[in-house]
Amino acid sequence: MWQRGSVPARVTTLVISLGCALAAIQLRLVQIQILRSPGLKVAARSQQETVVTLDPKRGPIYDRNGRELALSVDVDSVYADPSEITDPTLAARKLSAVLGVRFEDLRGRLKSNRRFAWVERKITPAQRKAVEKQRIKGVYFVRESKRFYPKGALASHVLGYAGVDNQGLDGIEYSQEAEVRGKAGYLIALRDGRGHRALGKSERLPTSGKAVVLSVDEVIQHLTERELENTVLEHQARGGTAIVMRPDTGEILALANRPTFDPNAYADYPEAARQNRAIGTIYEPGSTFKIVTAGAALEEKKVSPSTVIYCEHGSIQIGRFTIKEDRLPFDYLSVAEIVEKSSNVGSIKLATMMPASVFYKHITDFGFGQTTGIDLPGEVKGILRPPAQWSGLSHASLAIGQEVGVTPLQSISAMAAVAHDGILRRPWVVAGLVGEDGSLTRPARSADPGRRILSSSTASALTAILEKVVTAGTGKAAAIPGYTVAGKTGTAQKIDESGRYARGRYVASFAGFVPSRNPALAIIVVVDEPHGGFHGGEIAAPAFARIALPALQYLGVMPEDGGVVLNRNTEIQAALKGFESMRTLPRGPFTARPGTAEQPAHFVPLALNEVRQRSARQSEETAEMPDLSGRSLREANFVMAQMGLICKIGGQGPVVGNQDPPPGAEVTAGSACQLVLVEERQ
Amino acid sequence: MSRKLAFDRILFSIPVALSLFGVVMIYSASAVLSMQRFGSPYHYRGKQVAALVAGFVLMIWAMNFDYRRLRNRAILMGSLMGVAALLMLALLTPSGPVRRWISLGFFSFQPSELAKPILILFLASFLDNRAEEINDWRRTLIPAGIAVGSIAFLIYMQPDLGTAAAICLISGLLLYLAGLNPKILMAGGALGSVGLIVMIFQANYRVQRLMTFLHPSDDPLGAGFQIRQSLLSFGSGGIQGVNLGEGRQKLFFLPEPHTDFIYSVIGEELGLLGTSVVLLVFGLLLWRGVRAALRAPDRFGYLLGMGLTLFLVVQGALNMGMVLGLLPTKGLPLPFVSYGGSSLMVGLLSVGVLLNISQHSN
Repeated sequence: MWQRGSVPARVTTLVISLGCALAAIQLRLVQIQILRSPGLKVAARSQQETVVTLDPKRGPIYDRNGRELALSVDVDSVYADPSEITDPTLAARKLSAVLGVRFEDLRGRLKSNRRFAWVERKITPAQRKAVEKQRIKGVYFVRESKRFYPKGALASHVLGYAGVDNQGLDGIEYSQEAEVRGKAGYLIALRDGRGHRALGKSERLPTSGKAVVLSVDEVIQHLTERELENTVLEHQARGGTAIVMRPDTGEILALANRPTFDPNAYADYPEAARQNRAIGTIYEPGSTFKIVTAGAALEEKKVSPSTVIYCEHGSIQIGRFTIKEDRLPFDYLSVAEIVEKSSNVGSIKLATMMPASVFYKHITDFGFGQTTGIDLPGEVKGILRPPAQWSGLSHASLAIGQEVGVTPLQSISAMAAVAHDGILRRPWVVAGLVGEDGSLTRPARSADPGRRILSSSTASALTAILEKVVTAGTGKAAAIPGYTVAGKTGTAQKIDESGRYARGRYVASFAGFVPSRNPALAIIVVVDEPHGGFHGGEIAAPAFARIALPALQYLGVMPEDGGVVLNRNTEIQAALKGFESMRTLPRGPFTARPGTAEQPAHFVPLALNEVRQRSARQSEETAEMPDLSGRSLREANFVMAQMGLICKIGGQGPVVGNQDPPPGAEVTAGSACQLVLVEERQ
Repeated sequence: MSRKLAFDRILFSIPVALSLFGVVMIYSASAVLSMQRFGSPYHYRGKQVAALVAGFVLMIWAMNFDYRRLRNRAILMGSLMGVAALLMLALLTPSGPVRRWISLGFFSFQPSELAKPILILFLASFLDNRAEEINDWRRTLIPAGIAVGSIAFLIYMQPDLGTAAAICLISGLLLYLAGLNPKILMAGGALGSVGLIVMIFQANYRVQRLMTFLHPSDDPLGAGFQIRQSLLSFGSGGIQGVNLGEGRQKLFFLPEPHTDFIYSVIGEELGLLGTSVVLLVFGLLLWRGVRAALRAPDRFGYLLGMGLTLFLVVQGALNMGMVLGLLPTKGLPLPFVSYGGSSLMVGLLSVGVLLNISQHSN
């Protein structure tokens, strides 16, 4: 069996077997450590590392004078690590009671196998306290940035709103999303097998979004909102829109709609309240459109303002249809009088002097049937059929502003073109974007010189006609003492669902500019379904005056006659009544600046540089990281917030045990830090 | 009596290298855990170094007398009885559900570790005595069965089915080498497998481990956790590893990273290169151990040398197979490398005896 020096067969067998076993282990090692390594590496990393996304701070939105219209504040959100929760049902019941989240939904989330689940986003400090009191293991807080609109509903349709993930959903928040949002950062935290978080190093800090400086002036916006509100209430109207625009640049100084909404709680409002009617709804312009008709006829040199037209004594036959005047019949009217007195027959006769294609070209020149290109989302083109689709009646209907659908913004842009010597400027609201480093970008839109749609002489002739509308015609209520107003009323019957004119449902409007020969402001007021009257002249024109007067005073536009003495301070105080946020008005806009004929100097320069300096100051400031250990989370949060640090909280317990960066380290506002809570003071 | 030769230097350096490497890996694997449990990162490393020093003394001692002097009836029976008594003592010590240790104050001793070489020593001598009647039930098989069975039973009661099964396996291999009729051996093996399955199903946690072994992905966070974590460690290491001390799996992902799963830590931190070298060293141990046994001056030395070699190599292979998911996890340390004073000292002692045998080869 066994002999010294020989190798027994059984030893050979055994050694070979064991050798095979060792070889099998080697093969397995190759399989695991080479072939399956990439997949296993990913799986291992996913359990070892927690990637914490650091949300960027959304850039603030300022008005033209650097006043905050939208800003971001830090609030708490609650999340859970479901793997640490021992009794999801109990935890869900407790949390649901405190936070008002649906119990079933919450339990579902807490039962998941994932290691992260939101419990509730963006809670109040009181809710946080209540959750802390429950002392549920596996429930944590994180600081998140929440959009806050300090002026509530003011300019809400311009600003839009941002959702719970800070994503812009409408308005400037949406259209400037790429600039305002900023770039997310992330923090990779190491985690051990028991779910405890070890401190990780920040891989990339978030970059704050750019600040947006709007052309909107908070004060003018406020008084526009106020007067629109009063008008809509007074006439129990369905809705309304008012736009204040600067004719020479196209910048929007104010844009208001009714109904409106508070972007801080946008979800509580119906879709209709959030809709930006100024650019998103269309109405038949009616008589306002007669400027286009007259302008086209003048531009085509078919007539001069003094050319007399026979107005058929009140009615005109177009094919099978008879079109009548709205009120009195006219016999002979000059072109100027046709517009002043808003004669339907005269307008139709002016329009039919031109071939359809020429008339259509002028309509599109004024910007109808196409978007204005304003930097706000949701703009519609309106309705304008090309001549090929016209019926026998269309040419005549268009002449008096029917068979055409326009937005309030299209109307005021066209009116502003008349005001601005016949040059149509594209309207815009974004004056500039200011980076955290103070860098300034001006959108190309604001530098667009616009295009000439009317000759100087036609524009001047139309202005004279529009002045007459206010001094002697349908728009008397728009007159302002001390200033010459040019404008046009509009009254149009609404079309109901079946496509017929709806009895008793009107859109009343007034669009105009002031001072007429050196215009500072172009303003439109559109009132949807007013009660107790329906003529633009009686409904919308007074609102125009009530907006224009304080705005002119606020801007320091000198009265043209020089004779009217206004107690500016009282008037402005009146204009600002109820506007608490404006207690500290900057001095600039109150300084009167006499305008010159070439360049109206009513406007203080945009506060772009001021915002730039502010941003640059903020980004350069560094501070020393304080020692937070042993402090309560509340205290720590307060300190962090003051320093502008983005705070991530880990661990659980009443006091801060560990912090990153360490005390004394140099930190800049907006950078991230992490605090680990512990049970006892160390 | 043949003349005494120089000891096998390769065989000598294997346990020295493995155990020194083990100390390094234990420190890497346990520093955080040790900090957590004892407030100092050096707790496990310190104890392992102490055991290494003691084990080294034992090894030198075991090298320096004629191993044939161990073939003394008093020593054989005394140590066998003694270890059985110690195992019973461990069972009687009321220290929780697992009764594996005897506390000696400054350190806890695991008699089941000592039982392995003592049983091998006993079997080597006994089977040599019965060389001519190896297949005799009354003279050989039943007495050997009683000795092995009672020791294995005491260990099984701790409960430590892994070690008990390993002891039975090595004893079976020794019987095979001693010339046992393969039919009897196969019958015994079949019987043992059935017994193993029955015992597995008696203890619920073992069923879970077995099921986990069969379907590891069923429950990634439950019973399959250990194997899953171990494979993640090996996979993370890749070919080159993430560097010594840089492993993350030891941070409470791997269960007991410094003991049974030390090979996984090696796999993560030193990669395929590290694991392959360790495997190669065990292959080297097999070669030098078998070589020493084959050159032994007598059949007792041959059986003893083979037994001790098999004990160390088989246990190493079982551990590696377990942590690589090739076998169900049973809780066997990797000889010389895993943390554990008893295991290390017994391993060094065994190699000391092997070296002793190698000095008598020609």
